[in-house]
This record gives sequence, C-alpha cells and structure tokens, in this order.
Amino acid sequence: MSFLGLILKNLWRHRIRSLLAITGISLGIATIIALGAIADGMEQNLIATLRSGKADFSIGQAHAPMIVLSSVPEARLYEIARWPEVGQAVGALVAFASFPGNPYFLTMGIEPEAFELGGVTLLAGRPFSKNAEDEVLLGKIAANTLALKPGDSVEIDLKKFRVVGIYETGNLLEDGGALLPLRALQGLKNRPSELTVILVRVNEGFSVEAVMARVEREYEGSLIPLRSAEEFNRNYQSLRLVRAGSWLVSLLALVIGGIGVMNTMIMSVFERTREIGILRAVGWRRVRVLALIMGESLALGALAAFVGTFLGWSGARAVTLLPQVRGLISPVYAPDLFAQALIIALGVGLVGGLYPAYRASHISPQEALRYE
Amino acid sequence: MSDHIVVARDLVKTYENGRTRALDGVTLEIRRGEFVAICGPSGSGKSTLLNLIGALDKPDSGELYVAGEDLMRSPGDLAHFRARKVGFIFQLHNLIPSLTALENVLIPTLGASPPSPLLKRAGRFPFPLGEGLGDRSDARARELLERVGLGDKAHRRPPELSGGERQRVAVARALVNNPEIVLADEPTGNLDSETEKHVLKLLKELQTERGVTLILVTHDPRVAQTADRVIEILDGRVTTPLCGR
Ligand SMILES: Nc1ncnc2c1ncn2[C@@H]1O[C@H](COP(=O)(O)OP(=O)(O)OP(=O)(O)O)[C@@H](O)[C@H]1O
Ligand SMILES: [Mg+2]
Repeated sequence: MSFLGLILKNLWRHRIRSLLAITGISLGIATIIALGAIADGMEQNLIATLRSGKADFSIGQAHAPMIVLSSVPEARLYEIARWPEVGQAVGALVAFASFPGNPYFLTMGIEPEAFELGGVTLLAGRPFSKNAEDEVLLGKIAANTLALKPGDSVEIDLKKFRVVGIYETGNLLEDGGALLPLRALQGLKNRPSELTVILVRVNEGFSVEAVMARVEREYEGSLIPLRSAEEFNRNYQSLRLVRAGSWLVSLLALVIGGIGVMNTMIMSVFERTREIGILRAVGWRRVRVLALIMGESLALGALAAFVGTFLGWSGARAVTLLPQVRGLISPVYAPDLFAQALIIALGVGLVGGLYPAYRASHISPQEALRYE
Repeated sequence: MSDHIVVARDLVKTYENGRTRALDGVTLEIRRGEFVAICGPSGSGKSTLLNLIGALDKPDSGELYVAGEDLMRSPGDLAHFRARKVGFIFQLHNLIPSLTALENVLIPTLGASPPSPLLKRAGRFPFPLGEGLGDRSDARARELLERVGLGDKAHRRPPELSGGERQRVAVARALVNNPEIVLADEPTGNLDSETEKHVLKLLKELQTERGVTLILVTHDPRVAQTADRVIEILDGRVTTPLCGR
C-alpha cells in the first residue's frame, strides 16, 4: 500500500460524499470549459471575419464595445485610400439580418472589388452586378442549411433578394453567412455611409507598421489599426467581458467549490479524530497528516477536473449540434483552457483542504485517543 | 547504554490548567527487556503515565528518559521517536476500519522517516507516493501477521475480524517498526477471558522472543500477575503494589 493508495482509499470510503464534492466542483469546471471553448471559438471566428484575405491590416472603431458594433464613417475610407502608401482600401459593413428561420444571420456588405482583399472565393454563380440592390451571395454553409442555390430568391429583413452565387472564405462564421452589396446592406440596416471595418493593403516598398502608426496618429481616439488576435482582444471590450466572465465563473467555482470541499474535509477529519490520533501515536509526523488530508482534498480537485473537462467538452459539443447555432459556433479547445480548468480544480482542492488539513495535523494524539 | 530503558523522576502532569493532577510525582525505573504491568483504579493516572512514556504528551515537570531520549527536553512533537522506539496497543478501535489487516500493520511504516540520513528523508518527505507495496516493510508485515496467527486473514478488514483477532493485528502493528518498547493500554480490556489469555500469551511470547520491553496497563489483578513486575498507581502516585498479589 502506498501513500497515494491510502488517499484514494479514504475517498472511496465515503464515496457518496466524495462524489457530491466532485460533482460540485466539476460543474464549475464544465462551465469554464464550455464557456471558454465557445468564447475562444467565437473570438477566432470574429478575428478571421474581420481580417481575412490579402489585407495587411484592418481598421476598426477605437474602444468599440464589440467588434460588430464598431462604426467607422465611410469618409475615412476615402481619406485613407488616397494615401500614397496605401495600395487598396475597402470598406465592409457587418450586421445581423433576418433570414428565413434565423433572425440573426451574419451578413456582410462588401463591394465585388473587395472580394480579393476580403479573401472571398466564388464557388458558383457570379459576383454582384453593377449597382445591384437586390442580389445576395451565400456562404457555402449557409447555402447548404438554407437549401438555396443561384437563381433562387430569399427574403432578407422582409425584402426580396436574388441569390446570384455561392462563396467560400474558409472561415466558419463567414461561410455560414451572406454577402450583400455594401449599399444594399447600408440601406437595409439604415446605416448610410457607415462601415464596420476598413481593410487595407499597403503598397510594396512601404512598411505596414508605418502605415498602421499613421492611422493611429491621425485618427487617435476614433480609429484603431488591428493586425493580430491579441490586438482584437485588447481593443474589443466584449471579448474582454467574455474573458472576465470566464474568470468570474472560475472565481465563483473556486469559492463555492472550495467551501464544498472544506465542508467535506472538515466532516471527514472530525469523524476520523481517533484514527488521526492513532496515526500520530504510531509515529506519523504532523506534516504527514497534513499531506494526507491535503492529498485527499487535492485528489477530489483532480478527479473533478477530469469529470468537469469531459462534461464541459460534451456540453460545448451539444451546443454546436443545435440547429440554430450550427455553423455559428465552433468551440476551440485551447491547451490553456484545460490548464486553466486543472489549475482551478486543484486550487479548489488546495483552498478547501488547507484548513481541515491544518486542523487534522494539530489534533493532539493524547486527547484524540481519549475519545472512543 | 544504561540497562534502564525508562527512568522517571518526580513526574508531574496536570490537566485543565492544573485543576486535575493526573500524575503527582511519579518516580520509577524500568529495565530493558522487562515486562511491567501498571495497575490501579480508574482515573489513577495509568494512561497518563503510559502516554508520557510513549511521548504522546509532555510532563509538566520532573525528568523522563526513555530509550536514550530526554523526553522532558526534546523539542518538537517527537513523532520520529514514537515511530522508531515505541509500539502502541490500545484497548479499542486500534485499527483503521477501511484498511485490511495487512495495510493496518503497514500504517506505521508510511508515517515517518528516520531523521537521518538526510537523503533518505528528502526522498520520502512528505509524499512517499509509490512506496509501500512489495518492499521490505511489506514482507515484514506479512511475517508478523503469520506470527500472530493471522496469515490467512491478511486481507480482511477489521469489521470482518473478531475482537481477539483485531487485537492481534494491533500487536503486529506495534512491532512492525522494530520498537524497543511496546506500550499496551488495557489491550485485553474488551475481550472475554479465553481470548484475553490467548492475546496475553502472545504478547508475552513476542516480548521474550524479540527482547522488547513491554509495559502493560491494566486494572485487572489477574492480568497484572502475568508480568515480571507490577507498579501500582493511586491518585497519580506510585504505591505499594497490591493488585499483583
Ligand atoms: N486530556 C485530558 N483533559 C482533562 N483531564 C484529563 C485528560 N487526560 C486525563 N485526564 C484526567 O486525568 C486523570 C487520570 O486519567 P487517566 O486516563 O490517566 O486514568 P486511568 O488510570 O488511565 O483511568 P482508566 O482506568 O479509567 O483508564 C483523570 O482524572 C482524567 O479525567
Ligand atoms: Mg486509561
């Protein structure tokens, strides 16, 4: 028999109690995993949505609470497009529009000239015709779910549109959405002369960093150039909020789970007072008793980490199978997410175990042995 | 090394801030290898004395040397001393109910490492995770279980053992670390007289066989009579032994 074996035996001895404690923590862990994976997935999709294709960087509204709420006056596009170092600058408006069966359909307004910069590849049909107001291109996933093909018509925000082609960008979110001519979407959403982002390609011989720096300088406080995932995270509060929310859940899990574990362990130590007295009498040192109780508590946390990770993973998967969100959410399981969950679960074990372990290690063998 | 394994002078032990005077100046000497019975009425201080000898508690004043250790002046909680020098047997609930007889016998080997050599300590401190099964202590525990006649019940748990069998497991556990002294506090107090005789005989045999010192607390004169010598305690003091007669 080993020390670890003894720890597991002690947990097995009160398996119902251990199971309850594990269930409590693992629900918290599951929430963290599921939320985190979904948030990561959404984040990555949004990042790709707004910075895809051949653009060197994109420009959004500084301090926008959420990237789809970014608002950039179209006039800025014409100013920037005139800079000598800028090869091409195009604007895109991103909005949610009502499609048959889905009131929040990701819809992007973009001119055909911007397809290359936006990374849009036509799979079937043709691009918008000049000045068309009633044409729509569907992403390949969207075409599939809506069962539409070029030539069909579709009602968007109660207005009739004709499907003229199918496109692919390789991004799940975009391929699950639709493209409208920029003017058409601006009209539909009553947001004339408004963009969500500007995509910029820098001329050869100029430094991307220098152009980004110029944007920052000239439009300080109103526009922000964005290139990497981290920049998006830093700028967009919604993602910060999701992150903060995930940490808040973690903190709650830590506190609630910690109290649960503490309760379990205090009960278990109290019941074993005489036993602990015997351990001390036969020569166990205080730290060994401390290690035993901490070990039990940490083992509860570790077991909960496994159970919770599995539950969270299954939960996130179940969400992606819902027809309403198919194609919109693809959870991303980053290693740090699992690390975060494991650390939190062990943290719960640690926090919950400290006091009971301290109490256990300070049980006086003489007194413990007096009570039968 | 002196041939006295226990030397106590003027031991005083009080509880509840001095309101209970459990030991009131006990002086005694016990020779190495001796079998001594401590007897006396309930509340006279027998368990208190045994606990002081076994370093489960510290005297208030006096002097106490056990197996070469100055228990009055040694700092810390003396777990290493208990692990290496002492084996305990109690009257009741000696064993951990969720563990098998064999595992119970092994419990002391999981508890403490000798204070030296340092390396060994570092290796085992404080999580000897993989340690135990299949090593020397395991073999020793099995051998001891054989010796107390429970070789075939090594994998039973305490609830599946009789009272006498449980006490025999406790005897094996007390010996697993090769102690110099075995301290038994009414080890047969809860057994019927047949089983009591059996366990006492076993204890005595092992004491002679292994040359350990056996100190046994009892209030039963018949049990006391089996010892080499009887020390009687009354109101926390040593008195002329009557219960051995
Ligand atoms: N931890 C303690 N707190 C308070 N009083 C104690 C404590 N331990 C022992 N005593 C008291 O000290 C006195 C001696 O107790 P002790 O247990 O040594 O007696 P004993 O001779 O072993 O009795 P018994 O035969 O009933 O076991 C008793 O009055 C007891 O109540
Ligand atoms: Mg007693």
